[in-house]
Amino acid sequence: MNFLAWRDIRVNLMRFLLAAAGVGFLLTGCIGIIGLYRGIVHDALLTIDAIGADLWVVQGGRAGPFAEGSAVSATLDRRVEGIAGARHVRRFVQNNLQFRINGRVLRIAVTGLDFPKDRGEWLALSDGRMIQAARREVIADASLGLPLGDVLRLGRDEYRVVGITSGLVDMSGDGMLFATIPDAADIADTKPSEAVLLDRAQGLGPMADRPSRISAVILSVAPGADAAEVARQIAAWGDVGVLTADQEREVLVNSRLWRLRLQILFFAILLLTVTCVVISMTMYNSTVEKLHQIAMLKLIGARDSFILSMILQQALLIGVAAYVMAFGLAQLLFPYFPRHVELQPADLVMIFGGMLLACLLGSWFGIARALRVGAKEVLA
Amino acid sequence: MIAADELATWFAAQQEVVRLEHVSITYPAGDGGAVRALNDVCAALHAGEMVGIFGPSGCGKTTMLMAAGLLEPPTSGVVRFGAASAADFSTEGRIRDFRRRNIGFVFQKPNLIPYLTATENVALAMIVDGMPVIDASRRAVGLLEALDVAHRAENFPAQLSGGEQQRVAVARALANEPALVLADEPTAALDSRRGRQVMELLLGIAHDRKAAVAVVTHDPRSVDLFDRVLEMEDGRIVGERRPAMATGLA
Repeated sequence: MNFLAWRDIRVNLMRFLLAAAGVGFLLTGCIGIIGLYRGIVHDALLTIDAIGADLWVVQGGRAGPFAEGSAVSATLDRRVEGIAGARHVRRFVQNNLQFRINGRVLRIAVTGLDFPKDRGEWLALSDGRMIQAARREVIADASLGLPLGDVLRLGRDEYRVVGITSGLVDMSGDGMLFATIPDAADIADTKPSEAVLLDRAQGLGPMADRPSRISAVILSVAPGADAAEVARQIAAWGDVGVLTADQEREVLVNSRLWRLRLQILFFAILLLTVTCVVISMTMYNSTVEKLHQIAMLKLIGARDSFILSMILQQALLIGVAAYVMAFGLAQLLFPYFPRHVELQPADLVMIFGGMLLACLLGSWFGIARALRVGAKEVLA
Repeated sequence: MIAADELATWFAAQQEVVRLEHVSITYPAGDGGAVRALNDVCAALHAGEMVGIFGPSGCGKTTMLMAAGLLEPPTSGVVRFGAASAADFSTEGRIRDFRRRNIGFVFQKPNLIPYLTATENVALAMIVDGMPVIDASRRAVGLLEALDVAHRAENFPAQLSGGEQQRVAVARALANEPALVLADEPTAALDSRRGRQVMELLLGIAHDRKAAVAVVTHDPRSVDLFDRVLEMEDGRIVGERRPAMATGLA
């Protein structure tokens, strides 16, 4: 530790702390914005990862059902079941809807379970049980704030909350609510009475408001079967497309989220640039204040390396103190943010590296100014 | 190339510490012309003597000090330290190395670093020379004791009187046991009693520590303390006297 750097900080502690706090808040923003992106990706992949299907059969020519819309026949699952090597074939549907429940406006990702083949066994329940009846039972994520046993009115019918999951939200951050596929369809396709009357007036039958389409069919591949071959056979039908779980992930991250990714990268760069500017200003001002002392140091024979290390160590100390503060704030505040903010060790290391780089660049202006000072300026 | 350490050894064995041979220093003037601050100055400073440099403002006293202290390179002429000339120091780094080990400076303003205690200010000169902080601090306290300001060792400059600050500055100048001490108006900001004390201190450094001490001053009150006095005018040395003769300058 440079003798002068430490003594200067000791005496001008408030200035040091304020500079570190300013940089710290910027780094908190940087950590937060990258964590938010990671959280969105995590949330987006939650359903795909939790369901654990090997293949997703979607509308032909589309990369649905998450990256873009997808609608396939509600009976497609029966065709898929006929393919050799396919097992655990289930229908999948998900709709984002908004309801007013108990005076609160709730956005809900209503997800269909293909009961009785799928009772929600793949869901990690924190409370309650899986769905046991074909109608009027739902499993709600804790983020929706719906208590176990609560009875909700969604559309025309009432549903009882029989199970609670934790941390299951979709890409938009809407909490998931799992119902059987007919219930999910009912909830999504609720029409006002006037709309039903108009349909009837146009000669549409009583089932006109019943959906005949779902988002996708998901399946696992039997042990020993070749997933690529199963996918090839299904794709050969021509009216549907087949995506593997990895392709679904890639489509989400690289297609649906790429703009967000780019935007967050720009924000992170912007924040690091501002951090760099703040450190530069702090170090430059601090150096300008000390020009006479630096001239004195040169007069008594201090090497440039001594002066350089004094400025650099102060900048690095500001950066490290700011990072510690930012890390502490992140741990303290981010759990209370409305969206999941995921702090990944690799990102934290990268931000720390970026901060060190900002300190090096920021102190360069101060160092350049200090090196231009001549010893004889003591006499000025 | 002669190393700073070798020169320090050389100084110990020689009487003459620094010699200015036909040194001229010219600065560009605002009107495109030139101002000759030093004009063909020849002078030598010897170990164990305190030399006063007197003259009116702008006569080149401080410029001469700067040339001797390697702060201002001569436009022409040579500054010699023993067998080496200042021109032999090829880089600013080498000049600073030499200055650190062989030259001490005292100014009108003490130029103490405000966020360091008196001890730390003195120790700093040794720390930049690579001495461990603990050793430097111990030695700094010893120097402050010698200069009768040890009771202020842990005080910051703002807590010291002008005279005490100047004593700390003198202690800092002596930290690396320099062969040459250059003082520019060291008593200008002090009252006559404290000014006299500082001059006696510098005289002690010259006589007891066998350093060459050069003092630029306007103040004739302590002229009797100088072993030799150089009178300057218009960038030239126009007279050299022993103290008894110099007293008449007042």
